[in-house]
Amino acid sequence: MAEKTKETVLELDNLTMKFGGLTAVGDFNDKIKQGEILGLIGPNGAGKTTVFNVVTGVYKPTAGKVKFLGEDITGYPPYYITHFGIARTFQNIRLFKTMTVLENLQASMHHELSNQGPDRILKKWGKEPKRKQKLWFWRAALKLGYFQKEREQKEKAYRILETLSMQRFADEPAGSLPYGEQRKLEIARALATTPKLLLLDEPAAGMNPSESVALMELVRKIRDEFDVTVFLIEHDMKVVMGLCERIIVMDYGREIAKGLPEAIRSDPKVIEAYLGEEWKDAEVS
Amino acid sequence: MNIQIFFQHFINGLSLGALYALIAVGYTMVYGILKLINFAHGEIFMMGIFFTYFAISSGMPWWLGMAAGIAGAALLGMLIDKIAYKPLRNAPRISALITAIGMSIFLQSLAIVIFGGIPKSFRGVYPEFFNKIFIFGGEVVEKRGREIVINATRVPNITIITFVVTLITFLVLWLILFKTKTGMAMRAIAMDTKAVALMGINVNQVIGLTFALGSALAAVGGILWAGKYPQVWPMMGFIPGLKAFVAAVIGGIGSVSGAIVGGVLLGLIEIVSVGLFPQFAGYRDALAFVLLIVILSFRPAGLMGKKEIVKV
Amino acid sequence: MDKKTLNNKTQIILTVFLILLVSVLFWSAEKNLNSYLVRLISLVGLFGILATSLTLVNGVSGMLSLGHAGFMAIGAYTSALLTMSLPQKEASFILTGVGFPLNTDLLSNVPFFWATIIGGIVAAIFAFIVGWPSMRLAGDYLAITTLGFAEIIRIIILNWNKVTNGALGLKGIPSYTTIWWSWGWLLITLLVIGSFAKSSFGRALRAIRDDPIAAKSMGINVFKHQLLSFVIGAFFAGVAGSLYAHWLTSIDPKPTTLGVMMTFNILIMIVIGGLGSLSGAVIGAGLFAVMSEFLRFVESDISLFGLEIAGISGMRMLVLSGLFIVVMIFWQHGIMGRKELTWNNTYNFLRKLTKGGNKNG
Repeated sequence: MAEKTKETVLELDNLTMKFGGLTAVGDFNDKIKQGEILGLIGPNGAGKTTVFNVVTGVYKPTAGKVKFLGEDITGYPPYYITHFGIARTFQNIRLFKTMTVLENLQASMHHELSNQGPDRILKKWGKEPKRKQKLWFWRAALKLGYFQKEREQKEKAYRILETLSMQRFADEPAGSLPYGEQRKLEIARALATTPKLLLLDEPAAGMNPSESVALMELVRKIRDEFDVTVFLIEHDMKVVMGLCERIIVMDYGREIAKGLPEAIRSDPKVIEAYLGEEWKDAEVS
Repeated sequence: MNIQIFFQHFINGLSLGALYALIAVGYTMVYGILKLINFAHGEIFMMGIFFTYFAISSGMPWWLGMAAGIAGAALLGMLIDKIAYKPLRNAPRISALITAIGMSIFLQSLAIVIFGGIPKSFRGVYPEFFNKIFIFGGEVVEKRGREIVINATRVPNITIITFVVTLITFLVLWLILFKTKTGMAMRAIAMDTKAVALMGINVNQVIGLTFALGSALAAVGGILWAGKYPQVWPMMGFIPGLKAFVAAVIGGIGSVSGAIVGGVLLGLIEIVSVGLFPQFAGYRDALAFVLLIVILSFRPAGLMGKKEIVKV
Repeated sequence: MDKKTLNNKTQIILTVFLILLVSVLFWSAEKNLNSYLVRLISLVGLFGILATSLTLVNGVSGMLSLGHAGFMAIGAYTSALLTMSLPQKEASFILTGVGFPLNTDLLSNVPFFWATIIGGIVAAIFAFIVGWPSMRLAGDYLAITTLGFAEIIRIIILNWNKVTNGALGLKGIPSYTTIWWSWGWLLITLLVIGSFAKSSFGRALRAIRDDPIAAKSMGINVFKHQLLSFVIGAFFAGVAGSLYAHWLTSIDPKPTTLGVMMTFNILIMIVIGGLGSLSGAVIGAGLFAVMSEFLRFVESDISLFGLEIAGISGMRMLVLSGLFIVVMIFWQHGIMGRKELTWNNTYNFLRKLTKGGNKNG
């Protein structure tokens, strides 16, 4: 039986990002397929988060293109891109600290009520056109027929919290959560935007080994239950080797290796870039 | 308009700009180390003038009175920091900002209560030679039986003194900032407060000294200002303070050279504009803000400011 | 102890009952109290509008706007110039005469309600123009820019003699503001702003307040939301300005009337009430008005233990601002903090009180 070819969710085409004289990312290329878990690794300062920032529209690339589900989205602002279906977490936790866990998720669903993006693209992906979106905004503010939508959003939020085993924190202020739960909330919040592509920036940072294992299971569960593609940056090699189906290695803004975990593990260029330390730990697993 | 008149406006503008620069540097130094807009700075300027006024009026020789004014302002600056700003070091920025506004109003009210709201004349406070006027060029004509000079450039002594004192003051400032340990600490804190604390420097003490220095500069500006516009009243610091802050922002907040450039630029533009378009003289105070908005629209970090790169 | 939620119907009934109760109190106040106190109650109402609208911008959206008094001034002048009759205008504009088109019948004797709305709309338009270039600026820059705009507005009013009568101001404005008008508008303000704040829009604003970069990445158009919140705040500031003009019956561009001092007064109200709480804003407005009037005594002559202490003018502001600084240092929270006074909160609070009594008894 022929295997169904998976569609390309994200295509990065000769992506280059320069800050003045510094090339943070140079000629980055990749095609991410639906349902993949792709890892992006490299020494500190290699340009990994910059790639994320370009994909999500925080920076406009100096050269190159970002294509999402076949559409060129290069240069669109972050709030458009989130509405299109790309969500991200942050390396330094950026939760809405004064709001409850539930409200953090609800805020991330707000984009469903306001217009983001050119009608042509919205129509292509079956989303509501701008005009209809605008109406939602006023209906929400004046509370006309809004209660149904609000209830649906709340239910969706609870479902996400349950998947991440966080429902007991629903009404706690985000700033009061323990560190591990805050990292999970980052992911939950990104999920609340209903993404097709999830960008995780060092989700295992600061976690002990048992927490990292739980994280790996969680990411697989999210990929399966929410039907998302995962692109993640990580330093913890156990997590990378155990979770990622494919790995790209960056150094000094450029790709130095790409492929399956086993190949990456023994690639001399990669070992050299990392100077061996973390590598030794990874080989044990 | 002929070249003489333009030159007159230019000189006046430069002199006003020097005063703005003196006040603006105080703002920018405090902002540089605390990221706080010290709204009360204009009131420190005002208090410095009042201190000087009362010192000299009570019999002190003028130079001692001026020193008292400067010292008083410096102490006031340190006191304000200790009482109101230090407790809020770790509070959200909005709280510190609102407190600064409160402090500004508090000082204005204090001045009204202590000194009375009626403006006092500053004439005769300074020795006569401050008020002598030098006249350059122009022509002597006869009008109604008397000889007067028209189309001349009038440079009051106070203006020359302003230039000289301002230059000396900034030279001293430069020496302090770049040739002393404390100055180096001030510059270091502006770059990275936490790291400096770890280096064993008493951050709070340096911050206090920064306030003292900035306030002293404002007081110098005030003393020169009173010589030029000899009227003192409690709310006199509000508009100049605001304009000086605008000047600091235009030049690039946090940058001392930016504050000087911004101040001088603002003074020049203000005087020359009013000179060219006297019918709009009533709007001259609004000019500073219009300039602010225009410049911030094109250079959000000010003319000489550095763009703050936020790590995402 | 679990928190009980009152169902919606109960809450609505309680609210309606409260409004009726307050209305009865006001009606009896108008009949029985002296006019000074009645005027004070109307003032509290319009202060409440100012505090609530500034809370939306400062507290909920996190934008330190110091230009509120400017929008208030626009609302005040616009509506006053519309409601005044031609003879009244001519009495004020003694120097320059009334400028066109204010000397027409169309733009005179306009009914108070419409004049107030137009005042609010004009203020909102100005806010849109002012806000557009300003929203991109970070906190401190926004503060100074909005303050600058408020000053520009004041200076324009000061100089545009044909339209605003410059430094002389407008005198003889009809005294339309009553308890009913000011508290009626306060009710509308609370309903509208309250509705916005509790909706998804309010959540988006608070998200922007907490972390604009994260908010952007979660799909929120930060610029548009901030601008909208700013404009809404300005509209109600304009409405309050109109009410103030018709309460004071004479307005001028002095900083103490419609300038920085007024903005500072509003800041005091929202800080005391709790930055970020709408009910706190109203409470703060009430407290400010009461304190402000109560402190009048420090400005008048008092005899203490047989000693005559002369009143010092300006003492009131000194005490208020001193108090303000103390509150900021020791009690930044304010009365309500960020929480709202809702029926649920009150009910649970009362339950806790009685439960606690029972436990020990």
